[in-house]
Amino acid sequence: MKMSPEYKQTALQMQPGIITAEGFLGNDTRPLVDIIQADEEQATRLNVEWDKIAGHLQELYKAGKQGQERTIEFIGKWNVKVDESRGLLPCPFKDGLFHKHTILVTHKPSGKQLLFSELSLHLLEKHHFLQGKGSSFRMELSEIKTVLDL
Amino acid sequence: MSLSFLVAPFVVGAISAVMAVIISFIDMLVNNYGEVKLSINSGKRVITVKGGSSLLSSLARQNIFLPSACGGRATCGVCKIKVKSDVGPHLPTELPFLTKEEMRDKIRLSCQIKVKTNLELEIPQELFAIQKYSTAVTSIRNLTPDMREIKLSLKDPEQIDFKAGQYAQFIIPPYGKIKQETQRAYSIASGPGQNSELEFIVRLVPGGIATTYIFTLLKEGDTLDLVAPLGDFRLHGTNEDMLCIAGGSGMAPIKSILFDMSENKITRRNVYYFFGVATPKDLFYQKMFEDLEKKWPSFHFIPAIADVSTDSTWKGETGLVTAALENYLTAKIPKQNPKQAYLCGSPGMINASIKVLTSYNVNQADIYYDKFS
Amino acid sequence: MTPEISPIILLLASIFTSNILLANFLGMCSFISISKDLKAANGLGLAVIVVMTITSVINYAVYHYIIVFFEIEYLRFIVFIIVIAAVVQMLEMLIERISPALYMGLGIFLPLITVNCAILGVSLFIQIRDYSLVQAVVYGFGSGVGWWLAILALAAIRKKVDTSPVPAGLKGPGITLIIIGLMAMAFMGFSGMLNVQ
Repeated sequence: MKMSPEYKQTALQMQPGIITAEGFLGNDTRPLVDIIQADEEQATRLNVEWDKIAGHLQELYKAGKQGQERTIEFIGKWNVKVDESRGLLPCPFKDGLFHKHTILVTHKPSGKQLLFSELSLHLLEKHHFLQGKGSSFRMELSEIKTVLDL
Repeated sequence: MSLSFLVAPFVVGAISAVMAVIISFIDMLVNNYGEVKLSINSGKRVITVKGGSSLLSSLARQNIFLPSACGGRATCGVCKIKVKSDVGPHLPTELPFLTKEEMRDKIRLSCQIKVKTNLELEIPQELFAIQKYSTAVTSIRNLTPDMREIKLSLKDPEQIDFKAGQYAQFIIPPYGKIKQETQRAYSIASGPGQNSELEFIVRLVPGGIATTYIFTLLKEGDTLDLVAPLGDFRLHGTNEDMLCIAGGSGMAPIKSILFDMSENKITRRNVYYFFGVATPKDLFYQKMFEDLEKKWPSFHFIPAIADVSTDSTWKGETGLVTAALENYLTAKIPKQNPKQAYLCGSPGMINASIKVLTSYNVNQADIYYDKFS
Repeated sequence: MTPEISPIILLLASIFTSNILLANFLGMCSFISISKDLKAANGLGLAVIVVMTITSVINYAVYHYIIVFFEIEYLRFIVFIIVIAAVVQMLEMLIERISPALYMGLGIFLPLITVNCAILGVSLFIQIRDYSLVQAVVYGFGSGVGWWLAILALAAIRKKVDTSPVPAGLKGPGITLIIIGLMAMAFMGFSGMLNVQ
C-alpha cells in the first residue's frame, strides 16, 4: 500500500540508530502501514479492544513506578518491575517525548511475561503500532491477551 | 537510408541537456551561500563561517558548542539559541520544544536554522567555556553487572576546567547498523581538582545507542571525543545541611561534588548521602565512601538496599531510599537545621523524594536536581 | 486555426467558467490532499500559478519554434513533460532557499506538481486549440489562478466542515469528494457562458 509522506518519514525515524539502537521495525520487511493494518485485523479477530489493553497496561505501569525500580505485586496476579534510565525518547510519529522506562509484567498464574516501554505503550495506544517482528519490544496480541487475562 | 529519423532523439536530447544546464546553474546560485558573518553578543565575538550548514554545526566548527543531546536531529530540544536577526517563522520541527515566551523572545533550535545570511546571535557566556576534547580510554571497570566505570585521559586539550556536578557529551561514532554520529550526556564523576583525567559511571540501558557502544565496543586504549563541560547542577549555599539522594549512575555528579568539597576542605557542613540500590549486588564504591566518612566526620554515607533477601548479613537501611530519608529526617537530623537537597536519578525517585522533603519543611527552592530529562 | 477570442474573455473563462479543476477535473490529487491546510493550500496554489504560466509560455515557444520546425510533433508529450519537470525542479530549489517554512509545509507535493495533470493539460490545450502567444500566456496564467482559487475555496470549506457533525464513514476523503462534487456542480452553471475555443 502506498504510504503517505508522514508515514514514510516515520518509518525512517524507526530505523536503527535514529531514536534507539535497535530501531522499531526489527527484521520485518513489510512497510509500516502494512504492519499496523495486519495487527489491527488481528485485534478484531482476537476480539481485543486497543483502548482496553492500553488502559490495563497503563495501570500496571503506574503501579510499577511506585516501586522505584523494585518488583512490586499488583492485586496478587501480576509482578511488575519498572526500570528507569535518564533521558527522553521522541516518538517516531513526532507527537511527544517519552521517558526511558521499561516495564516487565509477569502474569503469575501462567508465568508469561510482557516487556514494553513508555514509548511502546504510547505507540500501541495512539497508533496501534506494536513494532516490527524481531524487535525486542514487539508485543504479540495473543501474548497481551494471555498476560492481561482477557 | 537517410539519418533524418535521428533528428527527433537529438532534438529531445538537446532540450533535456539545456534544461539540465539551467538547473545546475540555479543549483550553484541557490546553494552557494558564500561566507557569512555571525555576530555574537552584540559584537563581542564575530566569526566568519561558510554558509549552508546548520547554525549548530557552523558554531561547532568554530569551537563554540551549544548543548545537544541528539546531535542535531530535532529530537532533544536543548540546542536553543537567541537569534536576533530575522530568519523566518519557526519551523514545524522547532515548535514542540519552544514555549510561547521563548518564541516571542526569538529563541530558535540552532540545529534547524540554516546559515544563509549574516546573523546576530546571543549566547550565554558560560557556553564559551565548552570545548571538544579528544580523550583516550585508560580504564574500563565493571562495578556491577550493569554499571561501568570509565576513565578517560585528556589528550587534546590536555586539561579541563569544570565545576563539580557538570556533565560531558560523549560523541558516539557510527557503528554496526547505525550510520550516524550520536551524542549522549554523562555526568562527570571525578572532582575538578583532577583536571587531566575524567571518570564516568555509565549504566547499561537495554537497546541504548550509546551504552551499547560503551559496553560492547569501547576498549582500553580507544579514542573517544567529548564536548564539555555542560550543565548547571552544582553545589549551593554555605552551611546548610546537605541531603544527597542518588542511586546507580545518578551517583556521578554527587560523587564529584562531595570529593571536590573534601579536597577543598569544605567539610564543616553536615552531609547525608542516601544511596539507593535494588539488591546487594548493585552496591558499589562502598569502601570509597566509608573511607571518606573516616576523613570527614560530618559526612554520612547511607546506602539503602531495596531487596535484601539474598544477603542476610546486611545491617544498614532497607527498602526504598525515600524510606531511609524519612527515617533520618524524623529521628537523626535536627529539625531546626536549615536544609538543602541534591537529587539525581529517575523522575520517579526524584518526585517521591521531593514529596518527603517538602513534608519535612525543606523549601522547593532549596531542592536541586540534575535535569537530564 | 487560432480562435478569435479576446484575452480578457479568455482570462475570465479560464478562471471561472472553464476552471481547469472544477470544469475539466484536472489536477485533483494534490487538490484533495493539500486542501487540508489553508496556508499550505495557498502556497501550493501560488506555486501552481507560477509553474503553469512559465511552462505554458516555454512549451508554446518550444512547440512552435522547435517541434514544428523539426517536424517531430509526435514527440510533443515527452518534450512538454521534460520542460515541466525542469521548471518544477528549479522552483523547488528556489523555494527551499527563499522560504524553508513553505518548503517543509508543501513537502512531497511540490515535486508532485510535475505530474499534476493540470499543468500538462494546459500546455496541451494551448497546442490543440492553436492559441496565439498572447492567448497562451493569458490562458496559462488564468488556469493557474483558477486552480489557486479552487483550492483556497476547498480548503476554507473543509476548515468549516471540520467542526461540523460529519458521519464517521464520510470523515476525511468522503466528505471532501462530496464537497468537490457540489463545487463542480455549481460551476457547471457557468457552462456555455463564455467560449474558450
